[in-house]
Amino acid sequence: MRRAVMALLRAWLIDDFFGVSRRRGDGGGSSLTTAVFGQSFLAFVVAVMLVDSRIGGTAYAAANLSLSTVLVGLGATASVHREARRRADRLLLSTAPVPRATGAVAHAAHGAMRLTLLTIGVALPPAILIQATDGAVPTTSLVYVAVAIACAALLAGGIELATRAADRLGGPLRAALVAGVARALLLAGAFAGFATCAAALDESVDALPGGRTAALAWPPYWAARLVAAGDLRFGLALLVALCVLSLLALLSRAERGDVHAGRLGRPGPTLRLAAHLAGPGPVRGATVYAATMLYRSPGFRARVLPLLGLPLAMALIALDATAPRDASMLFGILLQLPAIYTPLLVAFLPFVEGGSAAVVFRTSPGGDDPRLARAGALIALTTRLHLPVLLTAGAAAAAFGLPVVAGLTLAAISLALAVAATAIAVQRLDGAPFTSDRESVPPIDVGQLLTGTVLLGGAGAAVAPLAGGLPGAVAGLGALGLAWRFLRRTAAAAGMAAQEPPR
Amino acid sequence: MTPRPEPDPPTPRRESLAREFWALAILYMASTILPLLALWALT
Repeated sequence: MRRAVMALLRAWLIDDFFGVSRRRGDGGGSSLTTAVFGQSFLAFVVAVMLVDSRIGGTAYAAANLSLSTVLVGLGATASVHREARRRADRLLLSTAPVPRATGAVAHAAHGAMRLTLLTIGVALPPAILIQATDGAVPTTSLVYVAVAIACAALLAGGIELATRAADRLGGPLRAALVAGVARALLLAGAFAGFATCAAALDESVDALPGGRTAALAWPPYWAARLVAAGDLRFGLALLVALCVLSLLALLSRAERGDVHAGRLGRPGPTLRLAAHLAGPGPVRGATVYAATMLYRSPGFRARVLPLLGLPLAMALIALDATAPRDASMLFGILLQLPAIYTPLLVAFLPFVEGGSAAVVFRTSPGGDDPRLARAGALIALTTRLHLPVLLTAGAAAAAFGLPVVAGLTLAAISLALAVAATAIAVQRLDGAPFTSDRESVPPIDVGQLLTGTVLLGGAGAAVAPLAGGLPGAVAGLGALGLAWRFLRRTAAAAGMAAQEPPR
Repeated sequence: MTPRPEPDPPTPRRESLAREFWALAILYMASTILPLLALWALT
């Protein structure tokens, strides 16, 4: 059994260290070691900056433990190749002459080892610098490293369990969605958390936003109490949480068959709207393909969903400290964020894992016409991303103290602006979206991005006073009508262009 | 006459787990010594 476990461990560690560079085909560099190095340096910088005689041991430990836990948690959500890895594992284990228990032991050992390797790097600098805080004894450093690993295990394990549950309930596509959402929430939460809590570090826990209750809901705080105050009750709580998590992990180990993988459901309302806007013919095909892949491609979701986390965090912070009068203007600018982000989304559109759909476009008449690809991408982005995001945001206007009608009016005008911005952004597409499997980050025109940000932000601030009144409602409806007409005409023109005989 | 198939290009064999663990050990050492220096400078 020991030799089998060692062999499996070795295989998985090689994939951890060298898998990314081998898949990319650029020689034998290790990606994991560079990641550990970068995170460790970040942790060192933060740990040095927080050394201050006014910051107590508990606050110091809590801040640094939160950082290390979030970093490891982000790593746990990042795996784009999750599904491929799972299939390879199943093939490896089901054909290997080892009992089930050996596989489980090897899995557990590999998970623990990977987590420990990653966490020690981020935990060492604060563990040493915590000696500069009041009441630290030499063993504090050791306890710190141990609880840092425990906290990281709790978060990474929780995310893994949630993804696995989504996998069992809805299949691998839902699992990738859950992982992407967890990543966006973690990024947003960490950004907002550090921004709002940093000011309260030299005060008591009651000064934090959310007060004592919020702190008690966050396990790194329990760990910080154990480290700095020697409070054993919190150590016990940490231990119980770890045991519960392990038990759940054991219960969820049973494998599910692949019967439901890739099952197609009924098309949702946004997909039907996209198909309707595209009209008949080749544009419909290009549009429906792009619209479907927008939600399906795990790589696109893994890269794009986190981008949406930061604006969410900024909105949350801004909510805290704005007078109602400024609120509508701020809200108007915030509604432009999806349009501002569009060039980044378009930059990632051509890529997909595998890329085998390219042949469909190459072999269909007019299928590789860039005008077709642009029209499809424009309609897909509008109906599948901008429309749901802006509709949700508009309805959430109540949180800013605005009437819902005013929010929806602003959302309608923003949708028209987003259509215009997207129509410009998609001009850089040369081929059908989601057909290239080159794994390279495309160059992004920063000048264009900044110009777009300034123009759209200004437009958002300018239309904000319109919201609420009758002129606003008329303007909103007019903007929607214009956007609808523009999309239909673009689709029709692309359809005509694609059906021309090649010159 | 069928052309002889091209031989596969040699796969890079520069991946060594042992070397990677040494690199990590040195990294951990650096993340111990740097904060120690900072601690000494701060107090």
